[in-house]
Amino acid sequence: MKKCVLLSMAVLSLCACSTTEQQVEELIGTLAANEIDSPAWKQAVDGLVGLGRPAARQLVAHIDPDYYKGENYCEFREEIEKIRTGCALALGRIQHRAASATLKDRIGTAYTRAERLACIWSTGELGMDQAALDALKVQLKDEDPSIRLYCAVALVKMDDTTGAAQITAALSGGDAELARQALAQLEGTNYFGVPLLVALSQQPLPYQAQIREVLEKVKGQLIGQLEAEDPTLRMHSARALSKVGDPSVYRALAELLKDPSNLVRFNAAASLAEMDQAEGIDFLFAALQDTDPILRVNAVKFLTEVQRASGAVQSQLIAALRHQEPLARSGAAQVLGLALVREAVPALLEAAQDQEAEARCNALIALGRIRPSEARARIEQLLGDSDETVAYYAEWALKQLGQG
Amino acid sequence: MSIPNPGPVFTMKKFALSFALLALPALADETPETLLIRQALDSDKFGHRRGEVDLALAAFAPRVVVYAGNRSADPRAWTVLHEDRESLEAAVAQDLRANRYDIERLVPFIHVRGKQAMVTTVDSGQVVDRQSGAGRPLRTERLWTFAKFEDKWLATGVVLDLGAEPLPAAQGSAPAQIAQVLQEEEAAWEKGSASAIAGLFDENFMGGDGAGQLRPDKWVLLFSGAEELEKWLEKRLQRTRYTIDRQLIHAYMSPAGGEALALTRDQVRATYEGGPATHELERAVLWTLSRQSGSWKITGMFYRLGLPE
Repeated sequence: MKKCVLLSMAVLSLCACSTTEQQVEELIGTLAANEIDSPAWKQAVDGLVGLGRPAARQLVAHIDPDYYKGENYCEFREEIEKIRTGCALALGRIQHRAASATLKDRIGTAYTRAERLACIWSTGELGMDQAALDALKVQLKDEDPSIRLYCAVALVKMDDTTGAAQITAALSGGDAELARQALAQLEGTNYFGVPLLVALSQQPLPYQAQIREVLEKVKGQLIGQLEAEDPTLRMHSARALSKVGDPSVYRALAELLKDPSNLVRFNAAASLAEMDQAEGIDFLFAALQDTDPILRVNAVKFLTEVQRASGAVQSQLIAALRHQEPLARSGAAQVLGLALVREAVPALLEAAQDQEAEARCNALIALGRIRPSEARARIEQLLGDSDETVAYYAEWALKQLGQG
Repeated sequence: MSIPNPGPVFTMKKFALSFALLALPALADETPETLLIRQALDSDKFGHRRGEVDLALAAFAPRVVVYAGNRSADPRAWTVLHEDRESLEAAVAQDLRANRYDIERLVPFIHVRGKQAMVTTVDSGQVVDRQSGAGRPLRTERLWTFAKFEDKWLATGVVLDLGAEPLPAAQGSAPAQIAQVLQEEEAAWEKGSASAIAGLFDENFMGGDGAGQLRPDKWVLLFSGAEELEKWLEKRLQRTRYTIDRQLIHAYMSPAGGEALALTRDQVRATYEGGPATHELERAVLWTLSRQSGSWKITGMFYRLGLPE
C-alpha cells in the first residue's frame, strides 16, 4: 500500500512535465544524483516503472555504453552505474521483452557488480530468450557467488534448472547473506520456482523453515494469480499448485474447471488429478471420450503428465480400456503407452483384440512403446488383421520389441 | 600546386571508387567510411612511393597541422612542424625531390565518429636518397585525425614519428596565452555557462577520451564539433554543478605562434540538483589550440590521457 502511494506520488510529481521523454530524463537525473538503493533512487525506479512501456526505449538506450557519448556524455563511471542499474531494474519490472538483448550483453565482467546483478535479475524477469539463456549459463562460472546465484534464479525463471546446484549451495553454505539473497530471489520465481522450492523444502537444509515460508508466499501468489486476467498466468499458476500439494487449493482449482480457456481448465484438472482429486480426474476422463478431437488430444496430454508425475490415474486408465465408449478405450491406450505403464500390459493385450480397429491400433502402439516381450505372440497374430492400419502397427510394434 | 577541391566528385570517379571499394579485401569492422579513409591514406602512401606531391597532398585538408612526435607518444615531447598546408606542401615537395620512398603502410587503428576519425599507421620499408642511391631503413608510427568534407575524408592533423621514448618536454614560448584560455574554460564550467564554455572551442573541434592510455590506439571520440559539445553542455549543466581544480602541467606554442598544445591535470567534482550524490575524478587532459581564426580556440580535447608520472 505504502509502495503504491509512493509510486503514485512519484508519477504525480512529474505531471508538470509535458512529455514522457522529459519525465524519463527527470527520473534518470534523480537516479544519477542518489546512491543506489537510497529511498530517492528507489522512488525514481518506481517512477520509471510507473511510466511503463512508453519509457522503455529511453531506458534501453541508457543501458548501452555507446549512449554516453556526444550530447549524452557522462564522465563519471559511478554516475553511469547508478543510471544503468536503475534503468535495468525498471526494464525488468516493466517486462519490456525487447530489452533482453541489451540486458544480456551487460551481465559480464566489464560491468560493475550492481549493474550485473540488476541486468541478470531483469533478464530473468523478461522470460525465455535463447541468447539470454546462453549468456546466463556462461556466468554460472563467475567467481562471485551472488552473480552465480542470480544467474541460477534467472534461469529458473526461464524454466531451466541448470543452475539449481548454485541455489542449493547458497542455502547450504555458511554465508548467511548469500542465503538471504537466495531466499529473496526464490520468492520472485513465481510458478517456475515451485518444483525447486518444493524439492528444497524437503531437503535437510539449514534454512528449511525459511524455504517453507517462501514456498507459502509463492503459493499465496499463485492462488491470487488464478483470478488473473491473463489466461497464461492462470494456466501456469493452476498447474504449479499441484506441486505444492496443499488441500487448501482444491476449491480454487475446482473453480477453474469452468474457466473460459481450454488450457486453463485442463491445467487445473491435471493439478487436481495429480493430487488425486476426483473432480480433476473425472474432467480429464470426460474429455478423453469427447467428440471434439482438440479436447481429446488435451486429455491424452494431461493424463499422461499426471500419470508420469504421480501415477494417480493408473487404475482408472486400465479400467477405461474396457469402457463402453471406443474413444475412451483408444485414449486410455494412448496414455498408458505414452506414460509407459508396465502394469497395463495384460489389459493392453486384451485391448489389442478390441472390436474397434482404432482401439486395436492404439493398444498396439502402446505395446510397441512399452516393449513387453510377452506380447510378441499376440502382436504376431495381428499381422494379418483385416484392418490394414492395425496390421501396419502390428509390424511396427514387433520391430519395437526387437529393439527392446 | 592547387589545393584539392573536396567538393562534388566526377561521376566516373565515383564509379571508380565503388569499384575500388569492391576490390579491397574485406576486413572485420570495415565500413564504407573506413574504406574511404584507407583510400586517403593510400593516396599519401602512393604519392610518396611515386614521388608525386599532388597525390600525396590529396590526402590533406585545406587546414592541417603536422606535429613531430619526436619518437614519443607523450604529447609533452611533441612540436609543431607545419601549421598550414603551404608549409607542409613545400616540405613534402622538397623531401620527394631528395628521397624516394619504398614503403608499406599498416593501419592498426581506425575509429570513426560522425564526420571525424582517428587513425594510427605504421610505415615500414626504406627511404632512398635519389642522389647517392643510399637507402636507410624506415619504421614510423603516426597518429592521424581526419574529417569528412562532403564525400571525402581528408587529414586535418598528423603526429609524425610516435614512439615510446621518454623524451624531455618540448620548449615553446609564451604559454601564458594558452594558460589564459584554459583558465577561462575552467571558470566557465564553474559558472555553469554552456555558451561561455562552447565559445572557447573551434567550430570543428574534436573531443575524445584517452581511456587512461597514452598511446592513441584505444582512444575514443566523444564530440564532433562545438555544436555537439554545446548541446551536451546545455543538457548537462541543467542539473549538474561542476567544480574544477585545474593545474597546467605543460604548454607549448609553435614558433610561428599559430598552434599550441597543452596538458592539464584536472580535479573534477560534480554535484546534482536531484540529490546529494557527488562524483569526483582526476584526469589528465590534452588540449590543442589554434589561432588560425583570429583568437585562440580549442581544436582538440582528450580527457583521461594516460600520462606517465
